[in-house]
Amino acid sequence: MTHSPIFKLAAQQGLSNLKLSEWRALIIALMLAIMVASLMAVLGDRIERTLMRQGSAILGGDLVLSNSRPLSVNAAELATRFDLKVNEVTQLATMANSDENFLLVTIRALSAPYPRGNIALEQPYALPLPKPGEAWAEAGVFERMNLQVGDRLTLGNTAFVLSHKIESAPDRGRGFISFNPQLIINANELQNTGLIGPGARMQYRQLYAGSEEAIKRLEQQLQTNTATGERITTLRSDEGQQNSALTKASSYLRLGALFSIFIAAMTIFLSLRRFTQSQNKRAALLKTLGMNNQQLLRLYLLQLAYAWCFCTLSGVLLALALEQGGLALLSGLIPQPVPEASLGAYFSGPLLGLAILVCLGLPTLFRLQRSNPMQLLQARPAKLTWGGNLPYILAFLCLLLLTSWYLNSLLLTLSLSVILLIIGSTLGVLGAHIARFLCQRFASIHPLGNLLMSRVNQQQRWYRIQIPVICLLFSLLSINTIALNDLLNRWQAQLPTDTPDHFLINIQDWEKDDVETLLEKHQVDDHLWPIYRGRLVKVNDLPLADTMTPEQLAQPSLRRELNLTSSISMPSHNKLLSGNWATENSVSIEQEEAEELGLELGDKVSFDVGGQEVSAKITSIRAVKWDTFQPNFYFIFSPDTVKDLTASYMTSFHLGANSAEVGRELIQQFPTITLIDVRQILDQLQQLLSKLSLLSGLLMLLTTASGVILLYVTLTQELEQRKYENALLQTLGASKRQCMQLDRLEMALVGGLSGLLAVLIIELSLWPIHKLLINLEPSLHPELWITLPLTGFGLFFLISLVSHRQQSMPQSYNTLTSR
Amino acid sequence: MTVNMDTVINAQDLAKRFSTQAGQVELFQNINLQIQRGESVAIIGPSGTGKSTLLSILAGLDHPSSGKILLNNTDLSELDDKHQAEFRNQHISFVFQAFHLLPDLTALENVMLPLQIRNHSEARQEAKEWLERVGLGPRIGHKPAELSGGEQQRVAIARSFATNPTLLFADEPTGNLDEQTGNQIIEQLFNINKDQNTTLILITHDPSLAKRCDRSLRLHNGQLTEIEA
Repeated sequence: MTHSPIFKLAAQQGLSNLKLSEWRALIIALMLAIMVASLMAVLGDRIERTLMRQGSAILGGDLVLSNSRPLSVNAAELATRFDLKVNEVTQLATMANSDENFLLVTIRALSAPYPRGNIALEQPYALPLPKPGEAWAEAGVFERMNLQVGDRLTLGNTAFVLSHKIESAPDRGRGFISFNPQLIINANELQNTGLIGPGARMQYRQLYAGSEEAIKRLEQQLQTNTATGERITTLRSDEGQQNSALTKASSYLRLGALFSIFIAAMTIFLSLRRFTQSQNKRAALLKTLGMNNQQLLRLYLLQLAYAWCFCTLSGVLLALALEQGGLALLSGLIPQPVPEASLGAYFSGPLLGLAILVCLGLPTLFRLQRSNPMQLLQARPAKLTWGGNLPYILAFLCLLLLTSWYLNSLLLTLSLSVILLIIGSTLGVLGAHIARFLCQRFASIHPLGNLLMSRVNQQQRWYRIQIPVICLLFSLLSINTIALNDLLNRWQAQLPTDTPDHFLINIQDWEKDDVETLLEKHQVDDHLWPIYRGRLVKVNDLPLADTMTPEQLAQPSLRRELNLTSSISMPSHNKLLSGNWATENSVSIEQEEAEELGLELGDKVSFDVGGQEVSAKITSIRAVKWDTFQPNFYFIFSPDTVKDLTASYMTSFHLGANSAEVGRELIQQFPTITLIDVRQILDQLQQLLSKLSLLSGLLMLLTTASGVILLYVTLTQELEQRKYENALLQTLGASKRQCMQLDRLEMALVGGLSGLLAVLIIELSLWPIHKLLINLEPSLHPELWITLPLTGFGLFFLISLVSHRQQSMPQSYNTLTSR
Repeated sequence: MTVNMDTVINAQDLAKRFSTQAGQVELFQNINLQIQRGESVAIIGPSGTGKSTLLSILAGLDHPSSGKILLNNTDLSELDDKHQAEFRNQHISFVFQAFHLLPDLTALENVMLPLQIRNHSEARQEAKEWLERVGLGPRIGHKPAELSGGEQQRVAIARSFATNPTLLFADEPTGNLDEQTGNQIIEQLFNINKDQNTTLILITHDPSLAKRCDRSLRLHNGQLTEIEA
């Protein structure tokens, strides 16, 4: 046979196969797998690209030097000597004020245009930087403050005209600060705003661009000469954004996709197996007509290829539609515009689908080659033998490798797969045993009990697939929903009503008394804490490198400046664990920090605070509750040790219903201080979580669809057997009604049991999640104990209703005589 | 036509027709048949003449297109599904060519099945006795795949007699067995049938097997005729 008739025959067969339930199931499962994989790859890639901001256009330069303190001039001079372009950026978060509206924004003050990448404005503009008195703002500022281009807005002491809307800009900075809507102003204006003062949280950056060699030389020079706290970022270093919440969320979603893809792969495997069995006789016939093994294999591979093409097209299209929905959901949370996904991301779903088909399909189709034309001459067709699991084990391993390529982590995929496999098989064996045990008990009280027992004995191997799949589906679905909801709802509910809801930071020494007077006027209960920003440099007069282990030296609290304070008395929301609260030449340390740094009572610690050294002996160790919304500190000095230092002040207080009025008065009277509305941050967090929960809900829905198809396939795998069994029971004297009752009892048993086991897993998983991650008192979820077993029963019942109907007596007899 | 209380099958003017695209096809017509309790009756005929369809109608599994049939003086067409099932369970048994044992159940569990449907309290004991009677006492815990063809058919025979039926329908019971095993099985089937005084309706195309029955009937060209011994 030449090629073209095989193509045609394959197309014809592929179409006529649509009448077979197993072929339909295969196509739906493959489409779902491609859809989920594509959705996660494209959406994940776009989010990551947004956040990672790789490439010089996004970094703003080829090399960036950053610090929370003003950068030394040396670096800029060095860069100029190397013929590099230099730009200085100062970034800080502050309150923007326009009439009655306040918004926490991030300001970038630029001294020169970015050496790499351009600021794209909605209306093109001749100048590369805002003119004095002008500010360029991102869409978020306009939307959230209800402003138009040309409107005025106040930052600190200075009013600015919002002259342009930014479409995209490089160098948004990193960390939580990059999530605020951003404004760009001219560096010359920054001083006038009065926002820079002691204790202000600033990020200073110098961006350099030029020849590769010059950049390399500068990098080498800087690395040997960096001042404390300075950080070098290049195109090659990927620090910064990687740990952001959304990247983690994206990985979390991808892991969720792994389960969905596994289910789909299992469905495809079982459907293919059944399809091949049903094609056995046809293959034998084609052989008698002169088709050789190779042609036969090609014929069936072509059918799979056609199916793959169809599934790729429909799966990717659906994924792109869902991706748009996902991006729309996240639009307020990720910086716009979102870059396009890489070409590879669009192909990864279809490629994964193809890989699943090839890995699982080839061993199955090879078996089809063994079909024997002799069986056509026999009364009963010989069944294909399925012995020899080696090809399937190999196929499974290939699939694991491919999935790890998709998830970009071999270790994660392997460990997750092993965990899933262990939990799944344990659940399967446990479920099948419990089903048998329950049946034994049931047999003594119900006339159909013994028959049910026989049925359960026969269906054991299918229960080992059905029970874990449904059980894990229910568990993931519920844990995902409950944990995300509980995280916010119960946390908020358990905060006392007078929990501080506002932080006031950047209060300068000269503003301190007036701020206190204003707060007193509004009967706001507060305490102003002096803030000194300092870095631990010595312990017992020795440099840290001489007294600490490499692990201790790697602690994050040593790599940045800490907020230090002083107080005559211990904060009321702290608890003294050891030592005494001393009022002279002493410092109190937080318990975990002490453990991590190996510091003990009596140790002398020295801090570098703006070039001045401050030392004191540790006289007490405190426990701190971090989630109280009170200012909390690792180190609290006795006031005498810091009396020569300049401090800014901060406080937190509860405003409640007074919020708008007091807020307005504070901002108007003290334009340079920053008022942070915790509720706004909580709202943002809640939004992020609820959107994540929606996205993961969508993913779970797709996983559930895969699960339902798998359930359908496993139930129809045994459809012939069930039909036959019921036919036999009817000839042995069972009524149609009894057979129906038997089916329902079985579904109730397996579905209910899956639900119950799921409840067990959920309660067992939520306990540590609540206790350790969300810090909530674990509680049981009695509503699940009823709804999940009922849903399980309903699901099995519905699928069994769709997958087969009871036969009439003559049909039953025909079933028996035709075998 | 003599009908007495010992008549277990009384078929009158049975006919079976099918609708096909080419029009109506009549498989058989005007079949009148009375079978007495304890009789053994063979129905022979070439393939495709409708022997199995006739058997399914005689056993009350299928309905005739016209005519009437009484089993044990009961018209099954007047009973609802539940009572028809009860009737089958109490009075009728089958032995099939393909044995039809459930593959995941042991020999004992297969024999217990009809007794469990009847909710028999001593199902296990009864099934065990029947398996011992057909010579499979030591094999009761084996699954069908672990038994030979002959042994499987003996399990099926034990299952069919376990409910102490009035009527036993056997459709080519030796069709899947070699000659020697087939003979042993038939010997056992006839012996137990005689002991239990069961009425045996046997479908076969083997004339020598038909000769062992009290009566032989031939289904040919839609007509059922008695073959004189």
